[in-house]
Amino acid sequence: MTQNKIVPWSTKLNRQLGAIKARSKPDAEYAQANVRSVLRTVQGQGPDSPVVNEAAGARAVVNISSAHVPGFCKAGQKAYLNCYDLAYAGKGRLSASRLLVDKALPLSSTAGLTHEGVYFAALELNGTGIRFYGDVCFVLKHEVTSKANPDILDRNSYDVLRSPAVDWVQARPEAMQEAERARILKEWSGRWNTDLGHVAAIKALLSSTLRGRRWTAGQISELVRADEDYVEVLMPSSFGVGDLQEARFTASEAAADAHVSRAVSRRPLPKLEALIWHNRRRKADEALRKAGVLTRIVTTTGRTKT
Amino acid sequence: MISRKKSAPRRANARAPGVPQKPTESPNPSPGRKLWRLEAFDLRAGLAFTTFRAEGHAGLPIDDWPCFALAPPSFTPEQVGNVALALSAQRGSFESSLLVDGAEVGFEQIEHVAEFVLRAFLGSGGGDGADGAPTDDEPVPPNDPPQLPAPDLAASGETYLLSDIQNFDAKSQRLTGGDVADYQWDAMHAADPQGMVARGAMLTMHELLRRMPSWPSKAAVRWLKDLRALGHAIMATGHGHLFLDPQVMDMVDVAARHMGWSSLSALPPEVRASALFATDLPIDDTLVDSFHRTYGVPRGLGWQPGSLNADDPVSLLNRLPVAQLAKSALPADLGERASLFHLLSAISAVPQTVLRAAKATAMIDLTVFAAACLVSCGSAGSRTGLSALWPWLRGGRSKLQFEEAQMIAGAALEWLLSQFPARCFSATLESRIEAASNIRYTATSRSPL
Repeated sequence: MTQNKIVPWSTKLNRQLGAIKARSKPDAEYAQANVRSVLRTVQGQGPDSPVVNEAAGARAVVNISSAHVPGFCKAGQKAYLNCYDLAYAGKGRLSASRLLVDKALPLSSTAGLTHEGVYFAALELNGTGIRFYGDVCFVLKHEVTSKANPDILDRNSYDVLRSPAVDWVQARPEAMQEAERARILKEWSGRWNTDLGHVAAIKALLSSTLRGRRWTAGQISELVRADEDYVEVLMPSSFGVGDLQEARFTASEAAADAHVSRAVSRRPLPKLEALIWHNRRRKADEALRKAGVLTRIVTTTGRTKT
Repeated sequence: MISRKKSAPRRANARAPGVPQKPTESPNPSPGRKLWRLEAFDLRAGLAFTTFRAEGHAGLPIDDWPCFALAPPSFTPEQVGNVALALSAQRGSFESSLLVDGAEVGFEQIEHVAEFVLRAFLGSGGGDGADGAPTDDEPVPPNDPPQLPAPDLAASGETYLLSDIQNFDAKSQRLTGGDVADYQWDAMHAADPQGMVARGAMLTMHELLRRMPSWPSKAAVRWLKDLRALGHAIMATGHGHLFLDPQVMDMVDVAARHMGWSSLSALPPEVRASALFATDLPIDDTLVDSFHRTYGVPRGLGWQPGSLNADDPVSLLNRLPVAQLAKSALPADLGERASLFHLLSAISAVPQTVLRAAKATAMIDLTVFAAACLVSCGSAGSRTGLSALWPWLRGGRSKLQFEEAQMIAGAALEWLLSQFPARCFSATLESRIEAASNIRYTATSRSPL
């Protein structure tokens, strides 16, 4: 399956709604209403309210281990590091697959931007990001992301190496495969300021099994970033502690942390790895609060209840 | 009485649902063989993705690779449905492809991967703080240190544990690539865990006393709090009698003269160290008056260790400086920040680190003392003030107190051995684990930032 023309995200959304309407008019009416809710929620409005909450709405987030947070807080303006920046990761240890994808990324947000200058983030509403990448979720300020207006992809860019996309690529002559990867990634991409709502709405429509019901803010949050299925944000520059709106911790890990804390006074003593993890999380929280960053535990992705 | 049972080494990482039980291929070092590979890993964070595949990334597409995530504190493999998640991790703080001599390392079982990542996570604690801003949770730096008489530990030193570590190291040296061998720690037969705790405590007291700041000063307040936190910890381990040890008394005498704290020097020699380490005495020159007027029931603004993070015993170890003799085993950029916590982390991850030290047994003593501080935390209650020292001031410790100290020391050694590796890797991989203490969240000089 290949296409030569890049279809605007607004058109893609209308096609999705049209497909639903063709199956069921009541479902389409609910879908239309739910899409409006997604667009409002992304903008920081309530699902049924035009009032914008400055602290709410779609944000670019990155997850980082609490082990690295004190170093991040100390480093100043451009403290967040990608694999090309990090001394210990370094250019000498790039995997072949990473280079394949990095070279094909659609980078239109900043003139002269190369893959080495990209900082990967995820779209998040009220959740805590991709937990596998770290127990602390940095939430970038809205103005930081809107000013950068980064390229976004409606999925993980590495999906270009997975079926079915990889089959499309391998169907091409080898000399054309890199261009085909770039074309596919371009098709999956948009821009933060113009396409985010449409991308989020389509993702929600495709992910939800709820028909004939209105979605809540929490459900919308879960649909837009469903577990490890996220919208990728290609930030064109690094950022520092001053660019953070807040740092979020998951309720489940906070509970595990509290469990370690309580177990300290009982026997047997927790394992050293648990004590180190607990100590680092405390230090991360202290470093962030000293730097003036709000830290909070997200107990539910329904914004009003966090 | 110390239990003679063998310690139960760490056996974390129960096999997760869905993990292939064994590789289907016969043992074969060829690159085409499917083994557990580290797809992306951040050893300091203890985060990793492991996939079951042949060496290298040439075998695209990637859909068929089973992929599991590892994370602290449990390091239990958790299946992730999308290998792309692992590959994306490489764009952040994760490294890709664990290489040894240019070849990608493969592990027979996923538990071996988990063990490797867990041990590196432990070892990375040996460098904590080097890339962060200074905090209250680090030792007071030395300032014009007095020349204190060093504890004489020449005739001491526990060799049984040292021998056990040497055996572990020898076993590791015989391995290659991703080979793994189980190891059973046997050192609970160590004859004198209490002596190890005592010597570790003496070395730590010496190091902290020599860091005495100018007096009075803000640093002095902080130093005295740390000193009394140490006193609290020593009491909790059942080793309060050390405050009557002639070597400790000599160290305190020199320190008191150096700082010109006449009130301390004026106290009777047999209570001088106790008064300095006790947690309920005032911390200024009213000490003598207070002491003499209320002997045993002191008043004033003594500092109680309750202000320590009682729920975070690592915080205490972070503040206790490691003796100079052990600093060589820790990252150089820690400098005077090197603490008992760093040493405990480093030795727990890679016990054979001590073998490269000039005074290996002293390093073991310090590590066992650090473990004793942890296992006894929260057990001292309010018994760390002068009133708790009273029995020792009057007549030395009783047989029951001796047994209590023995129990705590035994528990400390047992806990420490439970932290030690359940498996050893090849020497090259052991070196990678050790190097985790040098991982810093800092930009390379080539970075465009």
